[in-house]
Amino acid sequence: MNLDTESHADALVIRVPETRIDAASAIQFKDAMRRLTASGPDRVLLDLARVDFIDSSGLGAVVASMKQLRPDQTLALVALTPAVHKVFHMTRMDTVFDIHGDLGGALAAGRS
Amino acid sequence: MSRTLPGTAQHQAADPRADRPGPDPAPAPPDPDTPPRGPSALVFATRVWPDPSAIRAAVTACEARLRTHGADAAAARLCALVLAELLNNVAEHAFRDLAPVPVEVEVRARRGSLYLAIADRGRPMPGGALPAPCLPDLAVARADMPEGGWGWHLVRSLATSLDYRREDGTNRLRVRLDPQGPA
Repeated sequence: MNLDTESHADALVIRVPETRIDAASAIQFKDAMRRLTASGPDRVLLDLARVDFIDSSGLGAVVASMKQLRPDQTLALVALTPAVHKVFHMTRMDTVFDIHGDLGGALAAGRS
Repeated sequence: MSRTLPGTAQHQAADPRADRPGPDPAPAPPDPDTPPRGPSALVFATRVWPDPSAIRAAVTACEARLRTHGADAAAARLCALVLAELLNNVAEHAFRDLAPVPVEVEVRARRGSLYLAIADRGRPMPGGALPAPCLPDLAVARADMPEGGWGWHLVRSLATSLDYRREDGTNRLRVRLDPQGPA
């Protein structure tokens, strides 16, 4: 899976250009996230604005991506669509991740 | 022998799509409407290979077909998500280390309810029954966070009722969905 990146002073934004994170793409997503976060800054922001479908496999891939980070790195989620937010909420995984409505807010949160 | 276990919708006063992560429900009597009695429209039928790429194609096609049939976006998405979870389970568990054969899927509509029927010739469910309700424990260190175990919780939370039975070497799973709330 190709992921787009955007470097900021204190954060790496990773944007998912695909509309689904599911069983068919979970492994590729995990691998791509590992490559991109391995040598990156402490804050990683995963922009999911384009993703409108996630199932439990996709959820697992996002969790796995978080577990791949260095101990000092954090992963926050940005711009979840309603369908995706619903899956996070139903599984209570919205208590595990910081979730921001938009990138501006997410970046500002890191500086406060 | 069949095991029928309803989702949360019949046991909460609120809309089953209220999405509140509440406690899992106690079992209730079987739902006589799974499959639907009386005429229903066969909205979608396919035979899908139990692998992720084929499943994605089938789930996408199902969602599109439901929209064409007149279902709104939320209803179509509800069905697609449940179908994805169930087919992923079949691929991962029923056919683990077993030569795959196509899985039969039918979606019927009747009076605002959707009825999914999935039949596969993979291994039976462990214990011959649906898994017990549970959510993985999240009160753990990051390194121990679960990467799965949510599928059945999602299905139970979204479905009005579930029915599993094993007949003639075939797993038959039937699910009723009520996208507009309790019937």
